[in-house]
Amino acid sequence: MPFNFDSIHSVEFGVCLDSETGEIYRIVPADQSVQTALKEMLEATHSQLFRDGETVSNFSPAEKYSSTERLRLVLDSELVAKHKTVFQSENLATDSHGLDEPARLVSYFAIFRDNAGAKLMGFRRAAQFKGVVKKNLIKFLDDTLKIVEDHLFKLDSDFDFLIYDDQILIWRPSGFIFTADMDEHIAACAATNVDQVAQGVTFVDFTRLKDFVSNHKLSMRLIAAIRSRDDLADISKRRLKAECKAAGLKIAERNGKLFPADGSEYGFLMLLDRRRYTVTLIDQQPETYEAPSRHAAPRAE
Amino acid sequence: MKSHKEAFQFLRLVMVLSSMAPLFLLWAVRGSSLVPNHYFIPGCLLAAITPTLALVLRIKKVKSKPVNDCQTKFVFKADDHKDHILVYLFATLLPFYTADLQSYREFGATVLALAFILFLFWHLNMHYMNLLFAFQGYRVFTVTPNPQDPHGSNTPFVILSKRTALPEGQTIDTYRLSDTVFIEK
Repeated sequence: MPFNFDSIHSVEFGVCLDSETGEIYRIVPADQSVQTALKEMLEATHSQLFRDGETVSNFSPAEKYSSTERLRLVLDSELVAKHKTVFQSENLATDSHGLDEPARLVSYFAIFRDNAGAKLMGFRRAAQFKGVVKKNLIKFLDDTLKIVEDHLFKLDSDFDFLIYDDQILIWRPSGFIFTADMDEHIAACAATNVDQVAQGVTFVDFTRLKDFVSNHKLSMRLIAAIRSRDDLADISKRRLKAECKAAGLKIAERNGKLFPADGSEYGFLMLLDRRRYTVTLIDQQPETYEAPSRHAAPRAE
Repeated sequence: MKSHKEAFQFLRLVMVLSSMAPLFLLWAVRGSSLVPNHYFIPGCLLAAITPTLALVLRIKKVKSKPVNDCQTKFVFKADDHKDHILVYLFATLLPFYTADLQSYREFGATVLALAFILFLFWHLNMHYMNLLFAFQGYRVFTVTPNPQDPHGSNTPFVILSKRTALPEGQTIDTYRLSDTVFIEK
């Protein structure tokens, strides 16, 4: 049953902490005032994600995003395997001292449940909290400014991303990528991703590309994005050759299989992820561009 | 990172003391030739009532609107531990009740033994063992978490519920009395 934002009946607050054994998740008991603040954060995030007239796009690991976006990722995606296990976990340990060591804080989160028992989690990278502790806060007490020496936790105005209804909705991509350990995951899966893409695009020899990708961080992200496409098998060999030529990429063919020449590997991957394109508005002067950030544009038929 | 310290160290001790309230009441009725009644009886009553009052206040507080200290718990496996009450009755209350309080050495030995029992109850998180809960109709369920859950706690916890059985595989809304004892909403 879909999560009902109008009937939230319980809110729990938690933290993700760094430890010798990896990240651990703890519930920190919070009173009603904190629960109300967390609800306000949820409302703010939800209303920003679904503002009238704005569309929610699919997240792509190769895309360069601005600080706030409206993105979606299904919870079954390999990119969010870590968050899926956290979301499915129950009975997280309670630790009322969970905020005693702010340097260990990776992120904080809230667990919301509606009247029907459906669950939603909101996560936020804990950048502000560390900053607040380092700076020491000044606060108005009577009519003079004083240094507040106690540790203070400052909640943000919204979450980086929400998990509910088998999906992740991302408002702040940088916070999401950081807490998801996406770069580490993509690096670990790079070789597998190349093999998967090779199964989809059978007329390309990915043997050399595999070595290239394993040493090139941006290419790892590109190959992860290409792998997530569901139209790999529809790519035409003839069209690919033509697009490579138009985009100024050198490719060779051996035993009926294409492969990019030295120096053209990254461009080839960019082309496969629709991020390298050529515009020829002046005769004989093709202009080739790369698009680290792009979105589909409507075509006038 | 330091292993996390359980909350409410003192409150848990108070709750353990509260679980001994029936013993203090029985002692108040029996009396002792060593301590005059006008000291012994009020002392026993104080030992019985004060911790129980603190427990009642804690329950009221977690349920109050400004605090609302609630958690949703997933019941992976639940056991109704009636036997704990029997252990409590026969292993602690009855032997202490029958203890001889008529000589200083016996009295001292009994108080020392009681201190050991209190420490053990506190240390083993058995502060849920309280006749007050039984009078209110609560049963004691020990919930064992899913051992396959990579992030969930693997420490069993107690849910006090008025149900006859806890539904396994479902979630239950609770108030937190301590980090290991929860009372169903």
